[in-house]
Amino acid sequence: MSEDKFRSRLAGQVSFPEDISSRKMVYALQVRAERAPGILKEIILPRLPSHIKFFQAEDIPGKNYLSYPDESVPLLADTEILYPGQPVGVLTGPDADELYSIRKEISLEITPIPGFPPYRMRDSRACPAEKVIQKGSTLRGMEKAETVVEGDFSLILPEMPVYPRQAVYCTKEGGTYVLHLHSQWPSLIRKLCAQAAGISRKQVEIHFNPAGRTWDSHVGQSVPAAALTVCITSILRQPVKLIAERDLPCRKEIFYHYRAGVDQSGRLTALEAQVYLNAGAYGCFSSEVVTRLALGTAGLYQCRHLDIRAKSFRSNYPPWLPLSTWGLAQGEFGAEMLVNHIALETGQDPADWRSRNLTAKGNLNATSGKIRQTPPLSDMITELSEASDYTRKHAVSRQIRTNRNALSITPSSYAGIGMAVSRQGYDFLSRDKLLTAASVSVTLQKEGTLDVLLGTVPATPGIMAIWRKNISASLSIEEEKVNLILDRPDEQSFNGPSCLSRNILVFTKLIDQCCSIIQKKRFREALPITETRTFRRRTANEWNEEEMKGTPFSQSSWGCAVVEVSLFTATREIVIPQIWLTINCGTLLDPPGARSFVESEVRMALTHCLDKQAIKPSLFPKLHIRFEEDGKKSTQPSGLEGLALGTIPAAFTQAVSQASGITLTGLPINSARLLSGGN
Amino acid sequence: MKENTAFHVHIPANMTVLLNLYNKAPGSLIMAGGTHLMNHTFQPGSDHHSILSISQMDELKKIGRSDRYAEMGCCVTVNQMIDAQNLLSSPLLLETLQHMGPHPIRNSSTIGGNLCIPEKRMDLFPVLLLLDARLELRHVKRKRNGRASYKSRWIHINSFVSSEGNLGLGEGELLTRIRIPFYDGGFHFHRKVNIQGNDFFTINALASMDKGVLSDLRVAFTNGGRFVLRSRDMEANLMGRRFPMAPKDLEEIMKELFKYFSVPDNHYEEYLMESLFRQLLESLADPKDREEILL
Amino acid sequence: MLIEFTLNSENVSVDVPAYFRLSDVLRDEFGLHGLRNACRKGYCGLCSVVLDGKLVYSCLIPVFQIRGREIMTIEGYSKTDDFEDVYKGFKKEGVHLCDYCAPTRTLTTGILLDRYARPDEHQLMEILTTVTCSCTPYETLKKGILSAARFRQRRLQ
Repeated sequence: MSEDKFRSRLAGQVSFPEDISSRKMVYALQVRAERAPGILKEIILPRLPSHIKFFQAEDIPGKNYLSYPDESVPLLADTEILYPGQPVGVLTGPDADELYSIRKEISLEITPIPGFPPYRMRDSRACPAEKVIQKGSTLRGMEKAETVVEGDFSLILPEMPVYPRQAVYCTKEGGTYVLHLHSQWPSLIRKLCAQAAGISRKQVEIHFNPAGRTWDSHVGQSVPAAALTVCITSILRQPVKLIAERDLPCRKEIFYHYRAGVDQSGRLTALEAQVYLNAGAYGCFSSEVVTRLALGTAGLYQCRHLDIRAKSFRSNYPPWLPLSTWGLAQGEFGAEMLVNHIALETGQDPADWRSRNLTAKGNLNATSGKIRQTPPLSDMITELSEASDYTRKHAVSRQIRTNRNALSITPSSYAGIGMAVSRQGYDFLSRDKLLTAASVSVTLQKEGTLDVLLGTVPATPGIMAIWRKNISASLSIEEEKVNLILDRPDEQSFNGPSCLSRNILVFTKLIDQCCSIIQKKRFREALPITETRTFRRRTANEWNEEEMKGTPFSQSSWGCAVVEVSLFTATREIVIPQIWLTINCGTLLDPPGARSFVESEVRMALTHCLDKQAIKPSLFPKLHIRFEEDGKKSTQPSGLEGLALGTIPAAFTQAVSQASGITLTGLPINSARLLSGGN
Repeated sequence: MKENTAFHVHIPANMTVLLNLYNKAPGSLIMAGGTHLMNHTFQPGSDHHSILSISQMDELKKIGRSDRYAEMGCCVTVNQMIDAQNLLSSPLLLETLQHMGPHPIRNSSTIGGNLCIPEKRMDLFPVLLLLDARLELRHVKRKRNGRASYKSRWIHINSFVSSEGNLGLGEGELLTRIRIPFYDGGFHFHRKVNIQGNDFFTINALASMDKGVLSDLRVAFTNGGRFVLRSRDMEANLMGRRFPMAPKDLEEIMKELFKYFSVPDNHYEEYLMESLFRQLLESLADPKDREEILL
Repeated sequence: MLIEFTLNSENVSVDVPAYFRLSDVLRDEFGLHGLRNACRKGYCGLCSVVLDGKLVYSCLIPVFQIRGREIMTIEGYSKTDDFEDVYKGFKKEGVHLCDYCAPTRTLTTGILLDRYARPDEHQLMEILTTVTCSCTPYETLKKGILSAARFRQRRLQ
């Protein structure tokens, strides 16, 4: 980053949508239904002053819905209210405080209707997506089993405040609507805004700020706000700033039920699992999330007979998908909990059990795809066990817990240690173009400058500098002459969201390809030379999402974590002194950026574990992160996102279980819950 | 983006004006640092309030000391108290102050505000209770002939809060100064445990030992900020005992704990009360090891 | 209500309702966007400003309280030598803050280094706790703060 840019960043000279205002601007405030489910009969408005306007569903100039993958969501509800807080109208006016006071006087007449049925009931209306992984016959597998281990686990993700909030500012300049907002997915915003306002996509121009960390759960967040703002701007023909309000409380829950057959030596003979995901009132993004959830649930261990059923269910809560890592890490939570359970039941060291049962080259994976290369996990487990002294600490903690009644003194705290492994793949598993599309267009101009049209938002601040440096090196162009264009209104290409480390991997590759072709053409063809490269979706032979067969990820990255906890006897407070994390994600493009990213993800994982909105610096554990790199130039970079989230929650739960002597079956955990037996 | 609750504010120039205004409009809210009011009371949609601001009154920001006590105005901020630790000379008070939120909050929040939040006993109340703090309450009384008579009374902090948890302030009466006596006992004990969200369970204790015999003990529990528990009978029962106690005596005292205090509704709070009290007794046995036990 | 005060070393006045939050007034009336108005609850710390030399959360300060007082925001602070120390310290240690928290983190670090010239571990925690943002590893931030402290000491010697 240039010195001036760094200085202006620290000096607060970077503008955000909420910083923008203009003289003729009006504020827009959403009016929401307080009760649900129900049928909206009437919106009763007070007498509105002439400068205040109210818009409802029928006023939307284009289509009153947002077509996300899997399901469309109404922009403003007109009949059916499915969750409390669903928007039904928008108030606009020049003074924000006046809008708040008028909103209080608006009442809605809603006739109650029955809610969605409980999740275990098989109601097709309430089940937006279901995926099944079947391999062999679990019946036969169970017959071979010496013991059958069953477990129920649950994962309830806490609400986390999101900054910056989703403020949107829109102004009309000529025939173009200029949007200022935070986004991870500009092309979807352009498409849905155009659809809602009944205009062409070329008429929507986006100036966006990267929304901090590109956590996957936020990909769709700014879309409804942006679409509403464009609609109102098109009606009023005035600049509009939509007021960002606090996020609605969601119900982010996943339930697992496992049944596993284990032979005499502790090997898995069969695995049956049912996973239920609460998607909220609309099942958008469900299909991809449920697919990844099922894959995560199947685990990374050898098992000939599998029957994994994952489904999402609707409930009368706000829709919130996709969750971070799009379900893979959350699926792995269940699998790693079960594995630990099996190891303990069969009297084995969990690290040892994992090393011996991991899939290897020549085996079939859970979806019957052939494994062509042995994952590096076994070595990673061995190294991490040594670094953290896992085996000894695990045995000692277990022994202390077992003999605690025989101890002459009560220790001031009990220790516990847990381990988990994880895999991450950056590919989307569905064949929905909306998600998978990615293209890069590079133009070498007559003046010697290079325009690189990316259509993506950088995942880390450092990646833009790396792209610029790489391009400069491969084409021998000065870095100042490389223009990285994140988005352009006249561009018709559509790109998927910037998440799952996709923009680091896919776009780095596409940029390299474009540059090498331009290099070949450079002194042979007349300038300007334009080269476009598009990401090739995987063929159905490689991965069949419908049947859940094949090799799901073209390239995987691997993570292994050990979490140590101390449980204070007097207060039952849980403290995490240390976390060890080993990550294998190929070649690192931006080592400081990667480290920073992993630490942020560790913090997020700990908020999931401890049900806190943030982890104070004084409570943050000592973190030992190690990146495994083979040093070969040919090794490609692979994804980073989701490895901490896939390992730390399960390792933490195991550690607290060991320290407390209670078999915990879910997260989050707090001291009061521990005292009442973990339930 | 604004999301404000409108209120009327009066900024009295001196104490006389303040007392007269408060006498005329006793329903007004007193604002010192404003951290609690701005965060909790002024929620969008809450009632319209009338505010009397006292933060600009220098006489309420003074800190002084005599041979026997430190005295401070109700608008002294938490960080000012920390900076004046030499004046306060109470390690228990200092430890409590240092745990009261991040630095910028401590620059705004005041001792008076901390004591006067209705229906909630914040961190300072139990500590000042143990230190036998006295509070100056002032109000103005109107005579029949229309003349004002300015009244001031000093009360023990114990009588500042009723058994139902209401503040013992009369109509038009406000807290102006706090007098904190020095305590010469050599032992203090402070633990603050997060129960849920922003609710904390605390135990604070002061004690002095004389050749292994407990010569003075003061213990207070707070329960999620809702109420403060202190039993002088329990303290009297412990005083005069020799530490370390025989295990049998210790168990006997532990059994009797809920004779002196009612059992909290929440099972976790009950557990904390028992185990932290046990930790306190163990710390009394070997005060030097206390830090290690806490760790 | 007409309120006169000193803002970044300039005498200014503003006519706004007394109950407005200081953060709103600084952003909307004076266009000082270096402070963010994220949580409005005194939780995130992104609205920190310096009031009479002391750090406060401006979302918890009603504007009438600043009458006759002195306010400094990151816009004013960035013109001081102290800012240069933090800038150099963060730059040296590669502290890549996000655009959203960078100004407030810089201000709080600089102001608290006035108080703790050579911060120990406990004081470092106090500096880190003022702003809640997870963009940068704590270890990197700590190194950046210590480096800023060294630059500051060198300049003052």
